[in-house]
Amino acid sequence: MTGLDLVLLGVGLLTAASAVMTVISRNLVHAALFLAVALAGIAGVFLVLRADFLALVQLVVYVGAVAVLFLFGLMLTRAPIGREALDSQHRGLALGVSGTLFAVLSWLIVDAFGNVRVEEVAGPRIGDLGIALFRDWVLPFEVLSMLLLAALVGAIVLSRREDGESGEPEPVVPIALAVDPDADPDAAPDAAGEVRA
Amino acid sequence: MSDLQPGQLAPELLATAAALVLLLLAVSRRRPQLVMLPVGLGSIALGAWMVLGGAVVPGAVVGLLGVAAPLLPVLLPGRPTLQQAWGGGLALAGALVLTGWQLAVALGDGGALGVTGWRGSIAVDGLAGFTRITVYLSALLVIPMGYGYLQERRINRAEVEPLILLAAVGMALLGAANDLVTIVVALEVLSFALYVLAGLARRDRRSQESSLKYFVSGAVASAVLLYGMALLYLATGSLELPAIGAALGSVLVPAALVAVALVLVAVGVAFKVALAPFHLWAPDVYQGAPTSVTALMAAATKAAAFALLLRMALVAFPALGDVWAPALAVLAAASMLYGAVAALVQADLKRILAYSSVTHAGYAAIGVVARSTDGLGATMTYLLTYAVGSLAAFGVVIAVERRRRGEVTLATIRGLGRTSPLLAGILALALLSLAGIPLTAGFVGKLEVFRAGVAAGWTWLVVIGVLSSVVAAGFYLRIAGVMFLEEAPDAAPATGDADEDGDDEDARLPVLSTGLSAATALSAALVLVVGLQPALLLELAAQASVLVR
Repeated sequence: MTGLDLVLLGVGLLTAASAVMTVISRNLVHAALFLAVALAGIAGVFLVLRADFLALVQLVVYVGAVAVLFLFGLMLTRAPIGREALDSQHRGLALGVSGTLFAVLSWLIVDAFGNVRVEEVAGPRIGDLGIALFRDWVLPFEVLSMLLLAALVGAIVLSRREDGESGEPEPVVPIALAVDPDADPDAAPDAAGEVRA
Repeated sequence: MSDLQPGQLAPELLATAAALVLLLLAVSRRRPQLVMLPVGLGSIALGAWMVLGGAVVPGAVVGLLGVAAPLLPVLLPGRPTLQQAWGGGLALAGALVLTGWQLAVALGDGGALGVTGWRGSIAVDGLAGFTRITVYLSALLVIPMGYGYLQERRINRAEVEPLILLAAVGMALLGAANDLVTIVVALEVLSFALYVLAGLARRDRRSQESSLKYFVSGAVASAVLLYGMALLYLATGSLELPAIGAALGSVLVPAALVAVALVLVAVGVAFKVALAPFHLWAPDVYQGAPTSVTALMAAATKAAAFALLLRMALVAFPALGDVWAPALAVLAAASMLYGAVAALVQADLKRILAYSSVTHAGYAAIGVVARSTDGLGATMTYLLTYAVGSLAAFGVVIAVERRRRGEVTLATIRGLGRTSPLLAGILALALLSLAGIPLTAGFVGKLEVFRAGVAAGWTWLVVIGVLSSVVAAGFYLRIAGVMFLEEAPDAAPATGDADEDGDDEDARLPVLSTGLSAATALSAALVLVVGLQPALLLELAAQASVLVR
């Protein structure tokens, strides 16, 4: 066992531990932070395996963008982040399913590649990656921009404040800061709906 | 390997460009000509250049759309959503023409059906062409069907048409995708657009529920599919379906890895096509989504997802046919029986149609299980006939829903045959087609699928199919009986007179706007034409049963 193996083991354990913490922590913000650690750990695994470029991409995309987006999403939507946050009460089932899946998949990898001696390879040059991406895989790459477009438009549709459509504005209902739950619900249903949403 | 040929993706390019132009049009609300004039002039120039270059039909389509673009704001001033609807419809009609032109060139002299393009990313073959026809036709019919309905529910936002166009492009690309990366990307494009469309009605809790359920189940299915594809790549070392198929034929691949990959891919795809144990999302999603979106999901998404299933099964996994065919046959049988029985106890029309779509996924899967060229053609035919039949049915549901301002249940349509015989007649025709009664399109599709199944030796499966058809005919006939034999309720719950062209002489008459009635009548006419003159469609399907392997 070389030093590199030890580092790989350590990084792997760190990643696994934070992944588990992501699932079992009761505070959504903590879960998101643990997720960021787990994603950074995967970047570390890539780094140990000498896939520098992949490690950097993993850091930039997942830790830099996805994890931060999670936090932004939590803040902007004012999702419930306390201890009472959503819990579907299916711990046993979830543990069973994910445990079985883990066992099957790890057995699978060991079964398929347990005896294969992996030679050390120098990773592909970044230039080759670029050529592959923009020559051989140019169609899926371009279609990805459509995926982003659909996601952007969708985000606008789902988040923009609803006013009537085709230029006829709906009557603006002032948002009450504190809605009395016992107040007459018919009086200002729009206002109540707006606050709850 | 050929170089990049934009012509192979002409319909998709057109629809994508139209989606972008419509988004720009939505942004430039006050000054539409700022967008439409340059777009129109550019398209006319491009079309002229293409015509001069020898591509007459696509050049003419682009040029005509270029002429139409600046005319839209002139002819329909002050009605932005109507401009959007017309723009989307014209673009889809153009895409349909381009698809027909592509097929005609490929099937004609000197053409080739069954080549790969874009460095192996897409396959230009019969399956791709047929999927395009089904998808673009469905989307083209859905836009006018949904226009007035979305308008009345005040959810006809400017983004609806671009999203429908993007979804259609994703579906068409899924039909043509020939490697794992393109498959995943196309699948996500169509799914994202549909997640948003399902949740358009933001104040309707059912719509929100539908969108969320669709998103969660769709994301899980995508994840499972993706994991299976990763294992597949691990086992074969290739991302392109024909190469995967060739590698799986050799004995060098690790068996356990391939087995798990096959299971994961099969589960993911079965989720997407809503085969029986993996259909649980379908009824809630279909019921909650705005009805025109439901129609798009039922007709077009099913065709695209089945194109994926066909291509994975016949191109990537032919060597494992003896493994997956019996499993898929069991799923198909379960779908046919469960969908038919479950629909019997439903009262909501959209839920009934959702369960019926599960049943129809089972029928269409018979053609996949057959593993033959006939089976391929049969499934493609079946999907097209199912699309027109379900579109006609959903069109009537929209019409009734617009008048009643609420869910359409069996009680709502009681006596519809007396109050509005034409509408009830169209619904009855659509249901007969879904049940597979002769002289309708559904019969043609069902006959083809059953024939292919028997020819491939799957007699027990076909027997179950016939059995399920009988049960299904029961609930279709029940709907027809409710419409024609029972009296309409006395107190018609008609509220609200703000319908755009509703004369309220008889408040129980469902509202029919021009677009809705034209689209519904066209679907019903297609059901009849295909049912009475199936030769043309069958000939096309026989010639187009070509797969790039």
